[in-house]
Amino acid sequence: MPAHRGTETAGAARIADGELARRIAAAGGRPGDAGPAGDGPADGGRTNDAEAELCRRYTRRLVAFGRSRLGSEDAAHDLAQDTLLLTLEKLRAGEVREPEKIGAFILGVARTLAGRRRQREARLAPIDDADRHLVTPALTPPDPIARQRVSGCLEKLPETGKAVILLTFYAEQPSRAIADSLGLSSQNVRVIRHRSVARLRDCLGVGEEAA
Amino acid sequence: MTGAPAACPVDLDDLLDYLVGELDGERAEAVEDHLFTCDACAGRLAGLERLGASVADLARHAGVAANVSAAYLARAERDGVTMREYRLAPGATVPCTTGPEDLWVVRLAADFGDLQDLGLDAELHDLERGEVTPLPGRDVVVDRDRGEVILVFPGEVVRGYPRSRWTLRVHGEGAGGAVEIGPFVMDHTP
Repeated sequence: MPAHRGTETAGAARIADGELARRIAAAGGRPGDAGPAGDGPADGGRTNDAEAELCRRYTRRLVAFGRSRLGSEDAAHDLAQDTLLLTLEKLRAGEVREPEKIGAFILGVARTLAGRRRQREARLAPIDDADRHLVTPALTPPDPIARQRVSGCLEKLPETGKAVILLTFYAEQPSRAIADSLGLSSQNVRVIRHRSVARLRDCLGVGEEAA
Repeated sequence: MTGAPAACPVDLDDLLDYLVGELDGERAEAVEDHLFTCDACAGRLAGLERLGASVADLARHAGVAANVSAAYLARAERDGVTMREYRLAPGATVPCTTGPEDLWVVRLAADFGDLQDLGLDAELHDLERGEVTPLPGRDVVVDRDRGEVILVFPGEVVRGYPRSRWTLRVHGEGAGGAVEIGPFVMDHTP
């Protein structure tokens, strides 16, 4: 199965997440103190690379998490950025005890922030937008597959499957709404969606992407 | 599930339900716990996301030929897709045309009641050559909220047809047996 891989930060592409976290923790301080990547001292550049790579690896996961928990695209992006910013601050301050488990740490931060958001409890100190921009990369949408290929594969689906796929991914309708409008049960919609997505993946050769 | 890479142990169906926000609490948490420690599963989720984004991209560019519901048209309207809509009752004939950038929308409005196993038969009458060609039959679904069969086509494709007349008939199974509804006639000028 062909895999699409995005551009990875030079010098950090094959490093384990835990090693990236350790590098950030070892450098401490803000990345700006060491100057922009490539211009400042060697360690400062490496830290910037490590921070950028760690953010790149987790942004998409965090946005998916945010969508699932908060139900809003904007809120999901804000949550991803706030989570990464807080994670970097904790790493720089040496407050992450097990850097090799940085994924679990990031998830924990995200859950905490999502919980606070949902419950409208105590607000975090406002995060400067300039800081957000500095440390967390904008999440670029995935490169769409060539339209002709997508169209050809959609055409191979039964009409109901095609409708469910389009209403899910384009109209962004939940199963219940699709079921009501098409006279199906919600469970039936989910089964149709599972089967149709599996067929589309096979037809389009979509496997694992750069996370 | 077909096509599941061995490297990612999370079921593809669970990942998909998680992506669209329809995985229930405990299972969603279990998937999250794994996702944040497994690059392979995160990559698989990203693949699903790319698939969905590609479908949406095609739809936003009026590239879809499909049988949809009114929610699809509402989204297209929000996205600024130019739509050319024709709503037909049984027995009606409407003149129609389209532009290459348009989403061509045909709404067949009738009392479809509780008809099951609905299908659509169509016939193309090429008015320039005088030829009549039956088109392949297809299953259809009714937007039960609207009582319409809603069909969309890329304007670019429709525009490629010659001056022609399309006759559509919906058939299904009712309590008293087979039922046919129509004809719905489109008088097409490219």
